[in-house]
Parts: sequence; C-alpha cells; structure tokens
Amino acid sequence: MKRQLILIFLIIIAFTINTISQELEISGYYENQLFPQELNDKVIFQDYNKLRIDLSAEAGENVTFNSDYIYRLYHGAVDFNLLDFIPESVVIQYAKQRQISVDSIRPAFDFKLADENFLDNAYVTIYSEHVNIRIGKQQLPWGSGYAWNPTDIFNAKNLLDPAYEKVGVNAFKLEIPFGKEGMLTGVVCIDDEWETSTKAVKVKNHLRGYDLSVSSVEKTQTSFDYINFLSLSEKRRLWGGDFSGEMLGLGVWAEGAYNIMEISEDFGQYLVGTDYTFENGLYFMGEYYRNGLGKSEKDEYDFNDWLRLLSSKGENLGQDYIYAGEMYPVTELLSWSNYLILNINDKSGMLFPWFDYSLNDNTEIILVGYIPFGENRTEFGEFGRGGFVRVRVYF
Amino acid sequence: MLMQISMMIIIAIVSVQAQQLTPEQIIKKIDDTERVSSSEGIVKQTITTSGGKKRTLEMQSYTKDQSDKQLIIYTNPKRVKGDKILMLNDGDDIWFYTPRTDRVRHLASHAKKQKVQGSDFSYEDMSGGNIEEDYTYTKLKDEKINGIECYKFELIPTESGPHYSKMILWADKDKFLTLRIDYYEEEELLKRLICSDTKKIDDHWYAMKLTMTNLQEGGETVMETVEVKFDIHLDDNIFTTKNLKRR
Repeated sequence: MKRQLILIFLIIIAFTINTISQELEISGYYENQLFPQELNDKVIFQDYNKLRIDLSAEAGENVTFNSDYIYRLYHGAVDFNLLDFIPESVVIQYAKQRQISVDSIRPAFDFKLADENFLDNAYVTIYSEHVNIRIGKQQLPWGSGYAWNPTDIFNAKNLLDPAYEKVGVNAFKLEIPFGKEGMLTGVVCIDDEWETSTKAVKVKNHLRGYDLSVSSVEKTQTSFDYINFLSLSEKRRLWGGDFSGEMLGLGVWAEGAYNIMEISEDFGQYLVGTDYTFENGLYFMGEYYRNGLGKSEKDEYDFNDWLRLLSSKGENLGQDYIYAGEMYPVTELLSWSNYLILNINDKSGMLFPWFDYSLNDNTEIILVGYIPFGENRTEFGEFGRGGFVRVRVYF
Repeated sequence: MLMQISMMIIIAIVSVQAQQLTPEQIIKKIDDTERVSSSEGIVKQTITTSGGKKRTLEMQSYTKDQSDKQLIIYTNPKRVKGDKILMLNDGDDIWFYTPRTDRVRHLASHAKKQKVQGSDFSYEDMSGGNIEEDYTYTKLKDEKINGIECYKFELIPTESGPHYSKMILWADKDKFLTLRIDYYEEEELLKRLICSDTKKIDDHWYAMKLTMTNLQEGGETVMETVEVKFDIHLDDNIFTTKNLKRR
C-alpha cells in the first residue's frame, strides 16, 4: 500500500513537472562542514560535502510544486561505535545486566556515516479560497519554542543547532483558513494502515498581539528496550498548545504538551522563553524546559536513556534545562553569538560561541566552538570538546 | 501689465495661504502625500559596510490602505530569496517568514529595532507608520535642504511609534514630501535618511532613492525604487500570514 502511494505520488510529480517545465526554477546551495571533536583522548575529524538542489514551479494559478534533493558525502572519521559516546560505567553495568562481556556487545553498536542522497522535500500544493492542500514530503514546523518543541511530534531538534533545516515529513496536509489570521490544520502521515498512521490537528489564531494554537496528535510509536531486549509499539496521544507574544516589552513564548501513552507512563513536556533586543543591537534570549521523560539524578541515567539521547530522537536525559543565548552584530557582516545549554539536574552543560560571517552576497561562513562542562556520567560532561566550520554557498 | 499684477497677487495669496498652514495641516499633508492608497514596486537595496564592502538585495514591495499593510518579498540574492516580511496595523504587527524552515515568526516590539537583512534600516524604519498617530511633533524654523525650502519638525515617538528618542524631519514645502530625517537616541545622532530623486508617478510625488547613513558605525544603505505603480488593486489576502507560506 505504501509503495503504491509513493508510486502514485511520483507519477503526480512527474506529470506536474512535465506540464510546468518551462517555469521551473532551480536553486540550492553547496555546504561543507568540518567537525573536529575530542573522542577517547584523540581528536577526530569529520567532514561532509552537501549539495542541495531546490526545484520549484507554478503549475497554473493555484498549484505549486516544490522539491529539494540532497546529496551528502562524508570524509574523515565515518566509522563509530555508539558505546564510545556512553559513559564506560554505564556500558559495564549494561553488560553485567545482559550477563555478557562489553567486547561481545560492541559490534552491535557499530555505525557508519554513509554517503546519502534523497528527496528531502517533494510536494504539490493546491490553493483555493477556502482550503489549501499540500501532498508529499514537506516541512512541518510546529511550536513556538526555540531549542525544544514539545508539540512537534514530527521532528527532532539538534540542541547545538536548533535553527538548522529539518528533514521533510511524508504527509497529507489540509489547511482551512478562518477569520483574519486563523488556521485549522489537519495532517496525516500515512503508514501501512490507517490505524497506525499519524493524525494531527491544530487550530491557530492571532489574538490581541498573541499567536495562539492548540493541537492534538495521535501516533503509533515503537521503542526498543535494550536492557530487557523488548520492542514496544504503543499509541501516543498528545494534547498541546503554544503561544508567542509580548509582555512588558519582552518577547515571550510558551509551549507545552501532555502525552497519554497506551502502555508506558504518561508524561508532560513544557517550556517558557523570553527574548529582548537592546538599543545597541545586542539580542538576548532564554528558555526554560521541563522534560517529564527525564531523570532528576545523573545516577539514574541508564543505558536506554543514553541511546535515546544519541538516537535521531535526541531525547534529553534530565528534567530541567536552561537554554540561553546572546547575539551581537559586531559589523554589518559579522555576528557573534554565545549560547549556553544547562542541564540543571546534573549540573552539566555546554557553552558554544558562534560566529556568522557573510563573505559575499551568497556565501556565509559559520565558526562554532563546543565547550562542554560537567562531571563524569553527566549529559554534557561526557561530550568531547570540539566545534565546526561550515561554509555555505547559495546558487 | 494687468495680467502680470494679477499673477503676482495670486502667487502672493497662495504663498500666504501656504505660510498660514498650521503644523497639524502640514503634517496631515505630508501623511497624505506619503501614505498612498496602494502600491507595488521593485526595490534594489545596496548595503555598504563601514569597511567598504557591498551587498546587494532585491525585493518586491506591496502596500495597501495608506501603508497600513505592507509586504516585502526578497527576490535576490539566492541566500535570502523567498524571505518575506509582512507588516500590518502600521507596523505594529510584523511577521518574518523564511522558506527553508517554512516558519512564520511574529516579531516582538524590541525585535523591530533589529537591522533588516544586515542593512541600516530596522524593521520599524521600513514600516509605514503615521506621523499624526505615532509622534508628538513641534514645528521648528523652516530650513533649506539642497536649495529646497523645507518645513522642519521635531518628532517625539509615542508609545506606538519607533524606539528612537527623537527624530528631526525636513519636508519639501511644495510637494509635502520628506527629504531628510535625522534619528536620535539620547541626543546622540544615530542615523540620517536622505530621500532624493523625487518624481511624480501616477499623480503622486515619490522619492525614488532613500539613503540611510549610520553615523555611529559608518555604514550606508541605499534603497532605489526600480519601478513602482500606485493606486492599483491588491487583494486583501496578499497581506495575511497564511499567504506568507505560499510559494
């Protein structure tokens, strides 16, 4: 069924491109990122070349087509073992629980950064006066939070680069505008069966200077318990909401979600944030995040928690976090930011200075340092010092 | 001879009438001249940094309802192509959209001080505004700017106005068109806007070139209108947050 849907979708795209090829716009960027990092008392170098090609076209007055294709080649250190990123004592404890040696479990956690090419986004949008429909792999940005988005069940954010573009999500999206700025959004991410497909609905409006939304999502999610070697598939029902606006001259936002789990324990995730720009252009932001899935003591972080942190889901280990940052435009072309992530529970964190330089109209260079701090077995205390240099050229 | 005398009398009467305009009437005339019913244009923006480097951006600009609604769509360079700024309620509400993340962000008041795409124009400089509503004003002694007789006003922003502590405005006495604005913070001159290349288009006087000089940092941004049309029909739907995502 899924393959048939993909095939139908590709036929629609091919047909659409064919009919609109004369108006096809091609753009994109090339990006190189060099990422040195301390790992096991060594400094390793990881590098990638990424080419993103964006295609967009209007197929008549009310139909548009957009897609982007990504090709990424990795160089340098590409072979890793996940266990190298987990505290040794946690791995030893896990091996004891499994009653096997550490050496014998290591091969199961090998991974390789393999070259990849894929359609990141590819969708058709049909606009009308009363409804917009978007079909295909698309961006689904939900929530007002900067570093975290508890209401966003579709994407995982990289805390060290929260504003980086996200991977597209295969979905059917329906938008029904109402009032002056209101929007009812319905999303379905097709799975093998309707029962296991992700269904989401959101109502958003702008009232008295505030952007407000409430949302509900139902998703079937699968998790793996590496300690007991059990796979668990269960329904997750999320009820959430967010707002952003202004109070006492400060920008303010909040976002929260309560998750009702079919089998596991229910949990909530909430955040509040604020920002301000001073007269000299200095910008400050801060966000507090309460993670109901997290643990309050570092000794409670188990093997499963560490794997969830290292997985694409990027779920944090602790319960309480602060994310703070400031940005100052040093010149018209150079901005200097400093960000701090702090796990309040285990008192570990990461400081990362961030420089953004515009080399010319279409080239930007980003230089970032990672300065972690904290004791052993803490979330950031185990992170090696490092950083990255990213060059991006738009075309 | 009689005709010449008549003409002189008429000119004298008109001149006296112009001189007799109250500050309120002058400000209203400036607002009426600059706040056109609707417009659509293409603008080229050249940023010259304090170090002499240049960056060039191009944008499409739409305004409606006496600039109460404004939409800017960046078309060049590729780095910013598709970025959009929507300003409603005379710039009280500003949204920024970027296509790479498909995200629409509402800017808090403090963020309106931020430079737009690294230029010397802030969001609040770009927003329409209304002198009558956004400032308390005092008429100062008339002055000449580049040989043109100008009204001179001191503007103190109200709560709905920009964050500057004061602005001094010079407006052409004949065209009621702003020719220069000095922006102050705590008596310190921050920026200077020069409006030049005035032309009459579709029965509206319009400054085709705006030059904002940052007197503190030394940079300069020039906004040149490449083409502009006035009093055209623009659908209200263009000026909505849901339209920002349309591409």
